[in-house]
Amino acid sequence: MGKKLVIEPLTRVEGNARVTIMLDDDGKVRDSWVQVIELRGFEKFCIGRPVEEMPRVVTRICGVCPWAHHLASAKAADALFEVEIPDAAGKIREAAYAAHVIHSHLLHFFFLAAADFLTEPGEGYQVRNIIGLASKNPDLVRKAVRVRHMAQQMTEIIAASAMHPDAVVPGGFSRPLKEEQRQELLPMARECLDFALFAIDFSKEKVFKPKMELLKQEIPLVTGYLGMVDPKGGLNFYDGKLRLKLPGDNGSHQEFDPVDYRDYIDEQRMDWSYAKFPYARSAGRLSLDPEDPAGVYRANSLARLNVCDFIPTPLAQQELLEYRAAAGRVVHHSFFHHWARLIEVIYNAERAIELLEDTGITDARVREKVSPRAGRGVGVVEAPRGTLIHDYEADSKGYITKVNLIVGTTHSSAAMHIDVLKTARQVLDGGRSDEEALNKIEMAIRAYDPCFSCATHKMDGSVPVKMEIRDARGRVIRTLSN
Amino acid sequence: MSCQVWGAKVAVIGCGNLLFGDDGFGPAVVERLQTRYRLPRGVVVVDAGTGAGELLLDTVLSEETPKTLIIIDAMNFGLEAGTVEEIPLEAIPVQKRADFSVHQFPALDILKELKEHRGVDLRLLGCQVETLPEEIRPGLSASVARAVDRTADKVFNIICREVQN
Repeated sequence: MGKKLVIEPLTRVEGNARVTIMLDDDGKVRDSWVQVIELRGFEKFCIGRPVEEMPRVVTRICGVCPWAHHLASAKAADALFEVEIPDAAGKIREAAYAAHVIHSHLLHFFFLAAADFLTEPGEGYQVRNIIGLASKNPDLVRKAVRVRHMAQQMTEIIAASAMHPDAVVPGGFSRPLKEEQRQELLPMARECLDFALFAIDFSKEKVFKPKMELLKQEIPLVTGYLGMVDPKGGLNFYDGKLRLKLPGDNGSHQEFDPVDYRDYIDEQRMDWSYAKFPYARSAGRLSLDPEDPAGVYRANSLARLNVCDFIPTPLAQQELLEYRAAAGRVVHHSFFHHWARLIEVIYNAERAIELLEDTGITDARVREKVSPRAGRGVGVVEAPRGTLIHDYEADSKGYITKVNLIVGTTHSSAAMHIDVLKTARQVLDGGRSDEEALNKIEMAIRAYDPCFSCATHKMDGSVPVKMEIRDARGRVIRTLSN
Repeated sequence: MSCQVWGAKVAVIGCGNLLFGDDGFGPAVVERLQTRYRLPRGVVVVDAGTGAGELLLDTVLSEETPKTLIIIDAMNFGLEAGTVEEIPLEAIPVQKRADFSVHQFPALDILKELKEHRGVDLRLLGCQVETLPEEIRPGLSASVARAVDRTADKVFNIICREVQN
């Protein structure tokens, strides 16, 4: 029986992040367990509720991505009720969602990640946070705050509430968009685009291009990728088919309707985690062994740009071509999430402008009547952190009988597990357990930007981590926290 | 919503997840304030749910900040359930950050920045939870539910004093 080393950063409701590292008697890392997102009891809580209540309930799941849950849930209900929503409702939903993605992506890039690479590496954590960044680059941060706020205001104009939205309903949208609102929103969307273009130029010059040579020397984890595409294979966040680029296969992918996701994605329970681990069914098995991984895939910005053939808006497409010329057609290194994320901000701003320039978005018909029926409905959107799947079954009276959710971060659970294990073997073998080791394990987790961390980030963008080292009998022999 | 908080004379933020029992205390007090009280002009009351950290991060970076910021949250201090205490920020030890609050409480760093560098009069009201469900189960325990009315009263009194000043 070896030592058991536990990194337990947070209480259960706060963040659900826990890393347990098992050492053998020689002090070498035998295995590691990474546990994230344990939304326990959600299925039981939903059973017996009316389907139409779900889009309102799910916004309380997550304070960071309420819009993604709100939309995926409404789309699942649409599918279950077999209703075709009016065109204008689809456009309003997508415009609101584009604004939400801009708001969320700018949070991550500027407020959580940018301080790491826009302040001097030698500076301490007191400076390497958003406040430190604001004191050194006041104009940049002021602009980022203004545009982020503007994106949130856009969702408020469209849907009244940005934090706990209830405007998306099964069958469409709860109210039409007025012409004066459309005219108020358009310049806001254009300002978002202007800032996105400024931000990507700034970041290419200051961050992405200077780092290219260094990044090419690092060996990243090679996995499969999942993301949504439109009927022509272009990037889409709101609707389309799912494309799963197969792990290990160069260039080949499977494409399927979201309702068929179970035929392509299987989920495996681990005896040490409440969360299920999704994996590519075509691999036949899930293996978390770093020497022999199988079925492992990732979702998020990197994945979306890896699976799509192109981006259907002109300026984002131009940036995609430059990104691919620099980083490759299929990009594996986690650092490129940042570059991909900014391209996605441009896409969402352009998409919002397209939708708002279309006067059809103000059509008064925004809602179809729905009637209870027994059946199954699957709703999928690309949440900022990856493909979000809501899968509901209901009885003939319209009450929920079964629910399955796969959230964005979960798709990357297996890959994150492997990265943490590889890191732990590099830094902890031999029984070493200092703060540097702790930081490296934290960085391995942070690279995935798992959704528990976005709710609990410190200002320096780090994930609060407490590491306890226990001996073979479970006694705590040392505690470290960052 | 962020901009309303930024420019407010008094901003009240209720934090918590109402799907998890007593963790819904903050939103319950906010709901009571919004529905049973006539709030003076310049006062903003927000149910931030589990998104309080992001809201306050925006606030700390904004050009304007509220004069007074009242945060209402469920907490675990080992006191009698339903006890509501005003907690000085300095009293929260850094190492207690993880187990001080029961959900996505705003990072202490942000609160300190607001108070010490942006000059915000920060008031933190915490209610001792009775139980926290392991699984999703909405609804406050009897002792915490009883604290909602008197906390709303207390917050309203603070609001009135601050608005007059």
